[in-house]
Amino acid sequence: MFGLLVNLYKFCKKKTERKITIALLGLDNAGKTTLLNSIQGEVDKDTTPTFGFNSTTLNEGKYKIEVFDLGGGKNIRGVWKKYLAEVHAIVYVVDAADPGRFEESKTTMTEVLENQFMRDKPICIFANKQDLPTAAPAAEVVKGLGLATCRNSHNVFPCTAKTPAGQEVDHRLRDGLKWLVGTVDREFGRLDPRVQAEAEEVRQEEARKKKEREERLRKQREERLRQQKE
Amino acid sequence: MGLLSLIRGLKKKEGEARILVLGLDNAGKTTILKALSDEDITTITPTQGFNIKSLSRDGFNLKIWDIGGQKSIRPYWRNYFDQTDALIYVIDSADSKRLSESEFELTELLQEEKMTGVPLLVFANKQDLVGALAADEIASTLDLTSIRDRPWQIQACSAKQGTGLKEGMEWMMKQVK
Ligand SMILES: Nc1nc2c(ncn2[C@@H]2O[C@H](COP(=O)(O)OP(=O)(O)OP(=O)(O)O)[C@@H](O)[C@H]2O)c(=O)[nH]1
Ligand SMILES: Nc1nc2c(ncn2[C@@H]2O[C@H](COP(=O)(O)OP(=O)(O)OP(=O)(O)O)[C@@H](O)[C@H]2O)c(=O)[nH]1
Ligand SMILES: [Mg+2]
Ligand SMILES: [Mg+2]
Repeated sequence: MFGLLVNLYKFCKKKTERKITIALLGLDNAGKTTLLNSIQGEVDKDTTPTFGFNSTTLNEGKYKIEVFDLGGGKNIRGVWKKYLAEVHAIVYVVDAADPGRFEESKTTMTEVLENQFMRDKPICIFANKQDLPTAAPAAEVVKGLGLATCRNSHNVFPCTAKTPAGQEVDHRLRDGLKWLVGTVDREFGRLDPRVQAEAEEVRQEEARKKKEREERLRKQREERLRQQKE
Repeated sequence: MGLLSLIRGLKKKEGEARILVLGLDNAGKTTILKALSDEDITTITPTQGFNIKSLSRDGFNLKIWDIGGQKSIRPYWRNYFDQTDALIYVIDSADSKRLSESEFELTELLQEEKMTGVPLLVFANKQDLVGALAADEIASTLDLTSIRDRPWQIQACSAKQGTGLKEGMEWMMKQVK
């Protein structure tokens, strides 16, 4: 009897549980990896610059959120576009204490939002490092990033991702995530099928290109072998 | 540079970690390991079998396996796959002609069952040479951007100049659980 109940519970849970994917973007040194660690309660972890990919799963209500943490440095930003088809939303982190880079951050964010796969996808902006005396308030970050003309649903959350020893994790990190998930939730019925379809399309296209490269390599090898024999 | 000091940064305080270093011949695998250990790098010859670097500190043992990358040796790579904690894959960033060959070997490696979920560090070596490709170009060309089932990091470096090596190893040590 109990087993039956457990199965029933699992069945219902499966039906209501939803999976979404988001990417964590922003310039190098913005605090993306720190934010991801903090929100998971790993507050005393040091970070090193990300030049690649790491994926983590967070829970928020009935949502399981797969988060892609990517590198923001100039020489690695180029890979972001490869992930945009399969995300439902973006978290964009800005170092609010470094207004000298707002322009660069704006250009970089605009390029992301202009990508064909980003249409109608919400973006949550964290104006990070509010603990620093030079930190700009949310209104200045809105101006710096030119958000007035942004057509995607967006919201700005000032925050401090790096948790000082002995203190609680900044609740605004969760608030931002909740807002983002809520926004996705309202559009889920339309957004999710589109994301699945576009992601699959991109995957097939990449697989096809890869096959082509392998084929070319095989031909080169055969050619070389033939020349060696002659 | 001191490989030994890296052990201090490890999460796991005792036991053993096994690191595998692979890549095409001439990529610079052996040079990287020698440079990390402050050894002479002027007289390195192609590796016929393997080199092993073993380091111990405070009850922790780190073993780094550097395997020869020549075509005739590659079939033996699989003999070393057991219990790998992290994979270091080295490429010659200035040899764009061989990138597709490098991609091919890496793809095969990552599909191996024993390599499931193993974190991947790519050393984009020989950055001192003109024409060396940047990290994002290599990440796309090697198709690293299709990987979803493990963390990966690409580190631009020059074994000859000793740049980027420490940063790469620090990332890798964080992944060893
Ligand atoms: N004062 C302060 N420092 C922070 C805060 N958040 C992050 N940092 C610091 O900013 C630096 C960069 O943080 P990361 O999380 O590595 O930045 P990132 O955005 O992941 O950078 P990349 O991986 O290079 O793209 C680190 O030294 C962090 O400790 C914050 O809220 N306040
Ligand atoms: N310019 C330059 N040359 C390098 C660098 N690293 C290695 N080399 C040279 O590249 C050649 C091959 O280096 P190895 O370390 O033997 O390469 P390997 O990957 O161990 O090769 P196998 O053992 O055959 O698999 C040597 O002539 C090195 O001096 C570098 O960062 N810059
Ligand atoms: Mg990071
Ligand atoms: Mg060698």
